[in-house]
Amino acid sequence: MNRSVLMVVVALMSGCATLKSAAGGDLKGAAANAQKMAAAIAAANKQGDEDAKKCPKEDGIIPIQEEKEIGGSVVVGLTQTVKAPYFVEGNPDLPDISTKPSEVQVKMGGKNDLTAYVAKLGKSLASASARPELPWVFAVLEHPDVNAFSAPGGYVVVTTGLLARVKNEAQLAGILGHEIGHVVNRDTVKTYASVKHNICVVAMKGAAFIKAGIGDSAPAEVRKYADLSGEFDKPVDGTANPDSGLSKLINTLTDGVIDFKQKFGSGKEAEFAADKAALELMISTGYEPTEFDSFLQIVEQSRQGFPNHPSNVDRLKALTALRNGEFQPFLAGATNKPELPENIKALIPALPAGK
Amino acid sequence: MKQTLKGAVTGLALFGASTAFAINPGDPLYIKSKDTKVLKTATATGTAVVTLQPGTEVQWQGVDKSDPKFHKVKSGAKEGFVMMANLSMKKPQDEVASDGKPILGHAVASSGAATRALSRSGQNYANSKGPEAKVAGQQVVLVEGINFQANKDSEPAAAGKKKKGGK
Repeated sequence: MNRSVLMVVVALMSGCATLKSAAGGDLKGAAANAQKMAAAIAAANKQGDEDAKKCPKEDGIIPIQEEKEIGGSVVVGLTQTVKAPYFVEGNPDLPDISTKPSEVQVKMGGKNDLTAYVAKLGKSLASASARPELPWVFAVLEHPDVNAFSAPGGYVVVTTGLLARVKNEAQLAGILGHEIGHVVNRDTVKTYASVKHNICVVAMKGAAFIKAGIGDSAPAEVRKYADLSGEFDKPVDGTANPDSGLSKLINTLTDGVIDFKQKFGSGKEAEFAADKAALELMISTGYEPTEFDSFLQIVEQSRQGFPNHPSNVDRLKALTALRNGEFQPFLAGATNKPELPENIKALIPALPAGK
Repeated sequence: MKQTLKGAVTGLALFGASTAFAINPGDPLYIKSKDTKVLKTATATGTAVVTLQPGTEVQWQGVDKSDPKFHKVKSGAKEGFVMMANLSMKKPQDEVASDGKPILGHAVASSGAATRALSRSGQNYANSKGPEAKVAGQQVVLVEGINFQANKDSEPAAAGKKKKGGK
């Protein structure tokens, strides 16, 4: 919500109180009330603007620890948007949510081998990226649609529907490389910084209205954000208690990021940049780079994408241009396109009829 | 986020086939692997002229004609051959600590930020959004465990130390 919208909403609501007075016949009193209210609104607006100057910048740098914190909540939120059973897994008893990875009792074999295969391939690609030290985690989501997404801090998720359409390991390397590119380029982190800034601005304005005693005039949504106004300068470093204001803020920001990403994706430039990263990682690790193009051509064009995403035609053109230009001297030796291992292929659920 | 591998909109003239930039001799490349050896000859068993660390800038001189997987580079006064897999066109990124100071890439592992596990915020989020979110959170933890098992040998140093100490 932008500030001008907020001001209009608040002004309209306070205007209603004035009209009530007028309806009661006390025109002088109503005029005086209106003047008072207008002055109070002006002062609160001014104070809100002043306080909002302390908000985190829209394009501010997010520390690695904060990225990792928000990455955890974003990956949970995004996963939850898909229906259970979520990740392909063969453990009937799920671990406690606070279990350390080294202490998780993993029963390898069966479906977990599919995740392990993707994790190994992903890790080898991520190690060649510009952020090799992130705690990369690769997951397989049980869903028939062709989809892949990433979350800050190094989470990369692909669906079984996507794996079922992949023809070889080079194609999978391209897809994972694309998502690694989004993480390396901090695309969702940038969205988070922007969401944090915008919610902070609204929260400061709302808090100023409440402080001025005219908070009841503000919409409930604004009052809700106002409660978070004291949390924005606290470090997001993994120390927030579940019931704390900071935890509420992080949840609110996570919802904001997920909402934005689901509506708008990452944008054209971010998609081209992620494709470029994919190509570089494929070449670095010896995979045949044209296989990424082949996968883009395999996936059906009919499915609706994001309005601000580039078309596959333009993506393919860009990939060709990179291979003919910037990456041309590095192509020698990048020719591997092994089949997916037979035991891995056998673990990928067949596509439902008609898919 | 549904970053589908398909899009819907007409695209960018910026990336026309004739506008891509090719690399030229003297242009910078960056070392991306630890202890990368710059070799005297373009063979994996060649003698090292110098050993470089991630992020070090080198000047690209060209592709070796006998084995195009090797690229001739210059680092200061020294010249030699490096495998493509150890080179990047983009400088590895430094991370930023909570105090705003940069953490060099290789120090991230010991900063705690590289320790794999569902973050506290992720746990709080999963616990506060109902039973389905909690299951999603638990599944993320399971996947983290599978990733740990799959890549045990390449865990960051910090994770290894913790394990040895039994903490």
